[in-house]
Amino acid sequence: MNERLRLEHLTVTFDDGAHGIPVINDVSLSLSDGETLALVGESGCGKSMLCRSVMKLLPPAARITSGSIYVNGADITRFGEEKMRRLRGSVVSMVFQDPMTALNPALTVGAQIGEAVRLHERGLSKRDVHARVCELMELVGIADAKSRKELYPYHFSGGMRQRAVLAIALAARPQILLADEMTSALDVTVQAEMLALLRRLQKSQGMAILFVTHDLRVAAQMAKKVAVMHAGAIAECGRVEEIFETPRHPYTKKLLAATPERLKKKEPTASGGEALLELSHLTKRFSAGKTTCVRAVDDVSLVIRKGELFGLVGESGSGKSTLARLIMNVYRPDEGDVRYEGRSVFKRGGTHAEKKRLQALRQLIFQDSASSLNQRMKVKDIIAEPMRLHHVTTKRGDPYAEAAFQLKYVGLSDDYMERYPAKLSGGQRQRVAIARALSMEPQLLVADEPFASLDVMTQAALAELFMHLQKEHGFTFLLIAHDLAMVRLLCDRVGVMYEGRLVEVAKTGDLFAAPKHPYTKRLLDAMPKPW
Amino acid sequence: MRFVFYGKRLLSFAASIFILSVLVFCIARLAPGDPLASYYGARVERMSGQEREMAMERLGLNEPLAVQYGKWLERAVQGDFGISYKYKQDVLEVIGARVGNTLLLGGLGFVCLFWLSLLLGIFCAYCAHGLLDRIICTLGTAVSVIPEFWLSLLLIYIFSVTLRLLPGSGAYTLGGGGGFSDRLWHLILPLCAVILGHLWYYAYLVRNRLIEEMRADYVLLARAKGLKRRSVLFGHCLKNVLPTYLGIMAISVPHVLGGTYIVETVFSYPGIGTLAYESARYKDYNLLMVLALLSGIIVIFSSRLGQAIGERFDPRIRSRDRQEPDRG
Repeated sequence: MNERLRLEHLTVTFDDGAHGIPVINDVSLSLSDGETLALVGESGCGKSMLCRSVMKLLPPAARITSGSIYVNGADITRFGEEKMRRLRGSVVSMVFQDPMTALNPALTVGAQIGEAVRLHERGLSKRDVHARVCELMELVGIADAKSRKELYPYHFSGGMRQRAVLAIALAARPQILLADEMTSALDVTVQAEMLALLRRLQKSQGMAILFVTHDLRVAAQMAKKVAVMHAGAIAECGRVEEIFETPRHPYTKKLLAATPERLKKKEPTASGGEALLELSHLTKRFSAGKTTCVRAVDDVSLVIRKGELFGLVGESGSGKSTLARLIMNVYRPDEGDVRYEGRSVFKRGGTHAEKKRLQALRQLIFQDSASSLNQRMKVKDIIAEPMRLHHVTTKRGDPYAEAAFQLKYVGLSDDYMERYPAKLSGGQRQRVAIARALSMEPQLLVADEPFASLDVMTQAALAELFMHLQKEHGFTFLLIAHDLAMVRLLCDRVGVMYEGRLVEVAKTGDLFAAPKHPYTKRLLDAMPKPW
Repeated sequence: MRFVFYGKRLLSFAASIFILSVLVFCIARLAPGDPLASYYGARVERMSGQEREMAMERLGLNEPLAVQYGKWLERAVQGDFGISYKYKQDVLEVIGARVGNTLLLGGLGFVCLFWLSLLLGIFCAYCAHGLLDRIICTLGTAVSVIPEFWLSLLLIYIFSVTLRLLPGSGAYTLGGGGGFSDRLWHLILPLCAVILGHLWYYAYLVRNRLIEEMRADYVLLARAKGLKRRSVLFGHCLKNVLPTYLGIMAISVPHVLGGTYIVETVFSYPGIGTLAYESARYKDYNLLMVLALLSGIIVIFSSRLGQAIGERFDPRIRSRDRQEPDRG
């Protein structure tokens, strides 16, 4: 086996005025033909920086300060820009995390792939390039390439875009592929397809793949060798079984303990309580274009009981978020009704005060805490705002005192009161969002993908917080998630949504043991297996 | 559908013009000044009260404002905009004689501005944060804060008065010439004033949008393909910036036009700008009305054009219309 890539004591620092901060600290790795090395770590540990230093496409402030990177035996840290440029794409290729932004919105997909083809193979005729583009698109599983290549990226779904990005990366038959979180933003089912595709491609092309991910289960599926990265350094590197069964480094142990499979399962709440929320034949249509319309939520009927933790799963576009918004009375349904404690939440008439109270009883936690918190407001004002709006007489004196209490309750100290959301991490922001929801003392919490875009450890901490809250307060939870493992851990009952319809509802244990609907089966199959 | 859409647009256009005409009509007449002075010149001072009365009646200025406007509108709809008090000629003829000069100055100025801003912006973005970029940024900001009239005076002082290189006023050499080269020769300084006054504003916009675009994720992918930085800038980023730029340039037609008016006045360049200035100053009501409406039409038209360009060329705006609603 040829050794394709070797890093020796690589250190990359970020210039921060006077002193440099190392983002990659003394990393040594090696990668051979036909081999996959999984690089695992939480966000901010330097995984992406590592990939970008191999491409020598670091942000302007970052610099390789010591160590060397050998590509096919040559130290590229000494390469100039022009030499490096010829290497990119042809020898080393990279696939990026977010397929929604990685393609240029103003150029057709075919043009962007074609550009990569022409760059490294001079003297190709127009027809050759076309043929090669079609071939590449079919290689990565985009059917009907001839017509699809004339489309713009916005016509493509996330999975399709990621396939196109992969086609670009493969255009010049590279020997090394750096896959930076390439499946993280995709649905479970699409992720499973992509992983299978990547394995197949590796077999046929014999590439060396550096597979970067934060998901340990995906890493275990893809690679035989795993490197765990922590704070810019490699904590541990070895065979998959070694790392997962007998981890030596304390960080690896912590990381493994935080996976949903290893967390303590919530004890089930006593079922058979009275119904809190009833959805009956709920339908919401959106018009797409002039003649067609999409049924985002299609005839959904569902009962959620008091004190229950109900999970709602499904791929993106299946109507989960629309359903949440209907329950919150953000959207009005075209048909059907949502009844809360027997009263319709859409009822026109009724006193203003009653409506407001009804609204306060249901609280929503959003997926993207970075954009659901106002960047220009301090944490204390964010939490206190709903109390002010509803003129709540707070138990602990003024709203700020209440905010401080709620903040402590979700695990953040008083120090955070004066901060702005931008100064918080993703997990901390999500906690602030929860504190804001709790400040209204709601009966029903609707959490729309609260775990998405969070690290494994943060997810685990948040899951524990949810369990704790539910035990203490007896909230009713509606948890919307695409991570099945998390739903399995937390929920009493699970509903599966597919193309706007609720295709299956069952107790968590029953659903995972014996799925009835074909889509549920597919979803469970696609779930990354624990090793 | 189409018909209704354009009908609505046309109706709103007509309504805007109507409101504009009422406003200009009223404000012009409410402002202090003597319209007779522009018609009769110095003779006004020697007129008796009776003569003044008669003169006012002859010009139809003694009636109530509403009646005056009604009569003006009635004639205007038929294409008769009255005569200019000062030039004693049909208003349209007076404007027609000068509109060419303004179109030459404004049009040429706009075209030059369009290309120079784009090129300068691209250049600055290419060597962003470098020494050259910083020098151009500083210089550009300094020049762009100089008011146009002052810039014009400065140019006249340097190139016409001190160096005696270029003519400082008029559109052609009096008594001779009037040929094409002569006109161009006279155009250089006013053109410079028009361009310099606006150049940095748009170049800076292009520069910043391009630099912002260079930070987009797709740039990293394009670089990872092995493209040169320059190729990414021209092949990828520019395509995303151009629709914004085209839209903004369309909207700023009136802005540049306003600049042209001022420059014309300083250079005594016989164009519409000088005419507008004089008509407002001397209460040449009929002339003022037509000029104001003409400018209004250009403003409305160019802002509509800007909108249309934005909607048509920006794939992200197009995509928003076509994409399915967010069901995530």
